[in-house]
Amino acid sequence: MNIQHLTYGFPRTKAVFFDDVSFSLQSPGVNFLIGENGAGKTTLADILTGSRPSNLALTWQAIYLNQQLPMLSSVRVCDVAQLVLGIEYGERHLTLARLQKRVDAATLTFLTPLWQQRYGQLSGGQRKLVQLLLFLQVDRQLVVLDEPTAAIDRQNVQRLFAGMRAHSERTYLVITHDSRDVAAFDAFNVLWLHQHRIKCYQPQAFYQAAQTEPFLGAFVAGH
Amino acid sequence: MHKYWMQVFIYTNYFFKVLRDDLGVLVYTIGLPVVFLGLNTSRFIGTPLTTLQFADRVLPFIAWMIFSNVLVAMTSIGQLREHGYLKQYRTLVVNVSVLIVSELLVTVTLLAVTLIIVAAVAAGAFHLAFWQLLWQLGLTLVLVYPPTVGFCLPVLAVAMNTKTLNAVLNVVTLVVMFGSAAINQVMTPSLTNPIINLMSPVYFDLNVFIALTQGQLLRYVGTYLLVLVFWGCVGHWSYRHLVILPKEAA
Repeated sequence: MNIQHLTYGFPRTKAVFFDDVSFSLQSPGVNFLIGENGAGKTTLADILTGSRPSNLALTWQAIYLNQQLPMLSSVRVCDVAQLVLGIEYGERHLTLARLQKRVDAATLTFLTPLWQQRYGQLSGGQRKLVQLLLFLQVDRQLVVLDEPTAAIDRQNVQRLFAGMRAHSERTYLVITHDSRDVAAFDAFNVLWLHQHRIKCYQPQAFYQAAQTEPFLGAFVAGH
Repeated sequence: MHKYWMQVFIYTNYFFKVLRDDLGVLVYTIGLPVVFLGLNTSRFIGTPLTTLQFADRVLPFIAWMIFSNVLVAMTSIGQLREHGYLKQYRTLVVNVSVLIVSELLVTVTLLAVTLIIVAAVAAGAFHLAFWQLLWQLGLTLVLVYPPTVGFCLPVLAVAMNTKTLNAVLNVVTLVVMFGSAAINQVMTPSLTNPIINLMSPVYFDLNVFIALTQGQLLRYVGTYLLVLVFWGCVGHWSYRHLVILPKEAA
């Protein structure tokens, strides 16, 4: 996916936030979007998913996974699945048996023991993972995950990444502040958003740049 | 189209679950209007009323209830937006209107249940024919609902945080309630007065009911169409300018 000459300004201010920015997403593949707080990572994600109109003509279908959504605590995990995948598949009543043929193994393994549990009884990390894994089953060319690993233990993070690997035909854009997320993949592309510009790095170049760029160095060191 | 309505069905189900989750609020939402009806009309209980007298004494209250319920439905969509729902779910559903239509279906169902109770209470208390009254109230609801939605949709076309949304809900409700009461004090607007019908959902609902029950349909149809088209255009414009992102992000 090539993004060419992106220009964007917030509707209420006249200042241009992104001015003629061009970059490429590894497609298919995993792309990490990193940058300081307030650098504009979520703004860029909003543009790429079409939530913020810009000069880009989006030629892909995207799905956006928020950091966490409130969900009625009394509903069961099967209701949450209905709300996400029932919507996607156009099915009024989604059963675990029907789900078996349609979701990846890691997701099925995670969801099966929780299927009838009330959402409110799950831990915060489990709730987040339920939503993330369900949304990952939605078939879109571009999947944008906004800090998906925040507040999830590393074992569950591995489950999330297994879900991503199971759909390797897609393009992922993962916003993260955690270098362990990047290290979990062999092949990736890092997009560093800095001062309204984007620098792209393949793995080797990324770790080399981390030795000279203070922000990248701190990121890799996990500071 | 099939997928659209399937998504509406699933979300409507979910919103009903949200409602059922708090039975107290559900009973309060449906029961409060009946309690107010009883308080407002206690001195007439047992007295036979004509439909016109019923319209005069009870309909303003029903009209206000319809309006406030639609406005509450719209602000609850706004609150979902502030939690990031619209931003995420717009990439999942066929069209973001799925969420709005689902919420409105829940609201209209609640209103229908309330009207059934009101009709039953009114039939017993004021010696009115239950089925006829229910038909008239139901038809009124069907006719006034689309313009009322158009009246309330602009709430979603403006970026507002949760606190501001709640403030707007209270202010607009009070302005409509006291504004309509003030009009009643200073003048007796005619059935077809275009300004009053356009600006006061309470008078509009009242007039639709009167036109239906008093054989004034032909006289009123032009005014009704004016209101329908005007608020339909406002609603369409508002939907085209729907704010998707939470206020903080916008």
